[in-house]
Amino acid sequence: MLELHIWGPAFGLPSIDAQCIAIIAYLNLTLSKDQWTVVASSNPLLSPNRELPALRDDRTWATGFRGIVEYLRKKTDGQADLDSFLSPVEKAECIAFSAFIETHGQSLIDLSLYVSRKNFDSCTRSIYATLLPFPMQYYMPVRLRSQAKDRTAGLGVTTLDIDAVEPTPKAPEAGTPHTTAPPEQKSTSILSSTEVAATFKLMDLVADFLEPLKARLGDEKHFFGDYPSSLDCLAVGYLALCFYPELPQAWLQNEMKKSFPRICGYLNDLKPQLIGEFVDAKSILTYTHGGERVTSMLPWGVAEKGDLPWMSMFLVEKALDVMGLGRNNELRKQKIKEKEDAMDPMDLERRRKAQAAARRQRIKSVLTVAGGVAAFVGYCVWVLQTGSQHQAAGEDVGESARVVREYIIVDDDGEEEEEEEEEEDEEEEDEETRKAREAEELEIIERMEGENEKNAFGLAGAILGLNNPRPPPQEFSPGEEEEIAEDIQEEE
Amino acid sequence: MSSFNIPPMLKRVFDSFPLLILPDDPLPSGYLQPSKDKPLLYVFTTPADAAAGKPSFNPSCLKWQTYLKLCGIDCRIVPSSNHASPSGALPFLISAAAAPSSATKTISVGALRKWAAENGSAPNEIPEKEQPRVQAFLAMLNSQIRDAWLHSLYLSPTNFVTITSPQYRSTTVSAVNLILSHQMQAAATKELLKARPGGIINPDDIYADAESAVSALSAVLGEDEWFFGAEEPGYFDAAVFGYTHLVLATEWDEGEAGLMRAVKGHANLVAHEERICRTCFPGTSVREK
Repeated sequence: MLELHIWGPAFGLPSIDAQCIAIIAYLNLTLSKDQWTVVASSNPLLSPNRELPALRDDRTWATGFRGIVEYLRKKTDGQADLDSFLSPVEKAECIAFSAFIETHGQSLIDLSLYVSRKNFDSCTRSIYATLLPFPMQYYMPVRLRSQAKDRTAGLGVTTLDIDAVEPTPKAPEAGTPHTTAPPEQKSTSILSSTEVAATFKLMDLVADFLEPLKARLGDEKHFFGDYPSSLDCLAVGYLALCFYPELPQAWLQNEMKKSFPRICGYLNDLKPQLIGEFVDAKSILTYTHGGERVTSMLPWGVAEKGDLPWMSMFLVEKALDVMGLGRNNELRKQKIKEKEDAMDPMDLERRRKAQAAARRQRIKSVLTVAGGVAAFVGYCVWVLQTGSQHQAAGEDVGESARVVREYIIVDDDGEEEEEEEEEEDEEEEDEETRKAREAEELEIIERMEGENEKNAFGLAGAILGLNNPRPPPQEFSPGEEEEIAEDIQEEE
Repeated sequence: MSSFNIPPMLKRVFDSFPLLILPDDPLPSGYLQPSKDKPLLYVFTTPADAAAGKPSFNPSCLKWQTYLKLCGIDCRIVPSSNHASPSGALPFLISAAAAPSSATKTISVGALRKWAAENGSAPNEIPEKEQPRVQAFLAMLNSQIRDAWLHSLYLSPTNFVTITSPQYRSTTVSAVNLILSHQMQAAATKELLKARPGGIINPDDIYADAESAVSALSAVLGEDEWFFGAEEPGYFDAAVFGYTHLVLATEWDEGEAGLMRAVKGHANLVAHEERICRTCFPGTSVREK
């Protein structure tokens, strides 16, 4: 008995994932009902690839649409092969169009079900909530959405994501009688212009996907003549998820109805034969988790119960990944070992040499960086030490420092004043002190500005060391400096 | 707008910063003056190969290099890296300035095909009724074969050390190179995981898919000289050549040459590669070495 594990049903379709629908259709056409069951376990951790759909044949697993098709062909010696009637060129076309549907179709489904915030919030997320056990229903949809966003990042459609985040423009303020056009209209026109641009972009994407399919299909009932092939299964899987979901933002469905009636007709004709009529998600899910049996065209099975194993398996996986012992690594190690066993000694030697060279280079770079950092730290320490020696030796700190010192005098004065004031006004009310301080600050700034005229670029300019087009400020002898300080005090 | 007034105190601080316009920096010494007669095509390649007009070592760059040649546009090849491109992707092209005063235009990958059609003689395109098949096979080339290419170049340990990193490292600073190699491998992994939501990269699956894709290409080429029965090589032939030539010309590690074995098994694809090589890059054919 073959067990097909899939993402659970949604939108009246047997699954919320296109590849799952496609493989259901394929098994439905190739196997009799007592040879397989379909289990809506919605648990990707079951499969060795961590992806659904996955087919379990006793202890062997096959994953993905292509993987399962290939596995069935080998297992049954070509009996369960829908593509056996194709010519070599048609087989080639079948492979190419499958890749085409998988890339283009997936990005449209990503956009319509996951990236579009309105659709995701009101439909997709709540469907996953019914499919998944408690902690997963918060983690999985968000992760799937971010993956969908990654996949569609290059397509240049961003407005779909922000449509709900950005509130509708505020109502215009009253009392603007001078504008000729009512401001309300203006704002909607701006809104619609970005919307129109996005809509054009989306329609382009839809046409890029469906035009070649329409042209290839021509007037036939199937892609390759009278019989359905694996390409038809795949096409129905992806097109069904584009066409049947009822979403708040139904651009994809509308466009298909409007511009591609031929594709819609193909889908409606083929769907009953391939995946059956409307699937009631609720009753299927109750049955999957041990409820009442349902009558359906598909051989639904019961999922192994277990929120706890689910959760613990997930946690263990994550922990292993973090420690670098995850499944990816396991696969890689296994692969390397296999290869080393099969390789001749010359190659092994060459590979060792290459790896040693890489290691040497890595050590060299680490040493270079470490040496650089050490040298820099050493330099800093040296500069600090010599600097403090200079200060100990005397006051000779150079002329730039003297320019700055003038301002330090001002600052010092200001602070002193503040302190005096604070002492005096201790008992006065807060309000007054604040006002006084503000006034004082203003005064200080004004005074600083006066001083600043010496440097064309002002205080900040002096600190930043900007070029001074004028000759450098006069140097004052210590006696003069005292005079200036006195002047300032007089001003106060 | 009254709430946006700058407080007077702050305004004075701002006022004390002068608006200073510095003279233009001189252009970097490696900068090439746009030539008057030839457009410049920036691709991943080595300076020696660029001077000799040899093929680039990057499939996408090689595709455009070949396609422009097929259109009869003679470009000067400039070695570059994606950090130099305005769009972040190579190749890009700077058109020739017709008159000394007229400005040059920078054309990114996306607009290159249109530009080639306007400035050269685009080869006879495949008939309209074959377009769906062309689209489908292009999608296959850009998913299954590209995935295998990425995996054998970036995620196969020996190939990465012996082939990829010497090619794509653009500086001589070893620490920077180390960071760049990590970035490249991370980018390749991310790219492969886009189509694999489970987060598991299984090399066996990737190469099996690539093998079936290569045999599909071989089947659709059949006994024809060019793809889809065209009279002369066109865009799709250039795209296929971008991969087949590099797959055949690269000296893969024995244990990680799955893609090369897949292509070598199909004599008609090898012959197709050689035909384009003779047309566009005389003297660089793999078999002549």
